Amino acid sequence: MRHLSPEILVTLAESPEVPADPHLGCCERCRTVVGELRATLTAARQDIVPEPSPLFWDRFSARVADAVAEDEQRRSRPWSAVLQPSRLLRAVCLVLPILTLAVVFGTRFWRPRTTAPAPPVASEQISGSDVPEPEETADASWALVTGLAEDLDWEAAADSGLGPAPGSAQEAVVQLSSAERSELARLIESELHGPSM
Amino acid sequence: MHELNPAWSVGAAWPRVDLKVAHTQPEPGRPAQLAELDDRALVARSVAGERDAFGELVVRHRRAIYQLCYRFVGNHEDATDLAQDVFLRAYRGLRNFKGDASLATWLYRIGVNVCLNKVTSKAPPTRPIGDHFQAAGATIDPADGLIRQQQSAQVRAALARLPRKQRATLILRIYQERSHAEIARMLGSSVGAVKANLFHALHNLRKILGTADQQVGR
Repeated sequence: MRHLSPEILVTLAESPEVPADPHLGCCERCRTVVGELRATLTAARQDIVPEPSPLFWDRFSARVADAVAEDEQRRSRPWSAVLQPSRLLRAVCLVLPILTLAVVFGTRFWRPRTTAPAPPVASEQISGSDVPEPEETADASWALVTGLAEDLDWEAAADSGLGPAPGSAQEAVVQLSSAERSELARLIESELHGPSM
Repeated sequence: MHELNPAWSVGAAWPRVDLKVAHTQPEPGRPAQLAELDDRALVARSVAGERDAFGELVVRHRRAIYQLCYRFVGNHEDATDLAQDVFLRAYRGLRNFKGDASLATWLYRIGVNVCLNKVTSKAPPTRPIGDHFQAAGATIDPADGLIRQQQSAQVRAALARLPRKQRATLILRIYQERSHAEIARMLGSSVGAVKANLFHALHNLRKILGTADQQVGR
């Protein structure tokens, strides 16, 4: 047997005047459910919200009026809320540590890109052929780097770690004689421009 | 910038007017023309910046909204705060009131949202009726009053344990006596869903109350 749906059961429970569904006459289960729903409705309706004192309503209206006026003021001056001393203090307390952290970590981990000065011979050899000369006057960052490196001599750069590391290929090139460098340059040139496989 | 109306300053109050006589017998000090206007006209005036018109709307609907909030939270203080919040939100959104439904339905909708956001599935503490309350239609007999208070507390506690949507449906239907269609509009569902929710709400309420009775009987 197909029982009544919750929607119909609720309708029957809520409205005793609604003509009883014929199904109820022959279905004990649905009759019981409708009876239980009615009993629960009756029990629930017994709960009455206590009525506040008559004076309460005046106070309530005043509260709403104050809240609305305050809200209007706040909306007409949006910065006034932000500029309240307590809020400003909170904002400073929040932003200051973040800025401090950013500065500390920024200086620790960020290094400006410095180009180690190329070995004199190699730069001599290459500069004339493949590598274009940077436009010193046009490039402000290049001007900054050259300005900073102007007073830096080769030994000081090597001491500070900007030069070739001991045992590296760059160091070996630096130590070559002029003839050896010329020969090395010739070999590299022939290798680079020679017939490819 | 608007000048603040002295009537809205701290400590000022709108004249109290009984809901039932709001349209016929304005009290002294209350603008008679506002009391004679219907809700839509008052909304239009409020939107135009006439705050007294909004005050009149508050007077008309404050009791119903307070009762709705009380049903959700079960205590006077929270109900007052929530009801105030409802009216403040209504004031802010008054321009969005299209007038498709009645203002009461619109306010109820705001109220249900505010209350559902506030309440949790955990049962809130329900306070016994204090001295400053007088239960509407309450009997004078202290014994009867005590029994009634206990029953009310049981029902409220059981209500608080219902799932939020079932609770909202039950409150709106049984206590606020809104139609199924109105409830469907407020909760953004269908009439069928409202009836199904009501069925499950009553079914669960019965189970919870039955359990409470058994515990009391032990």
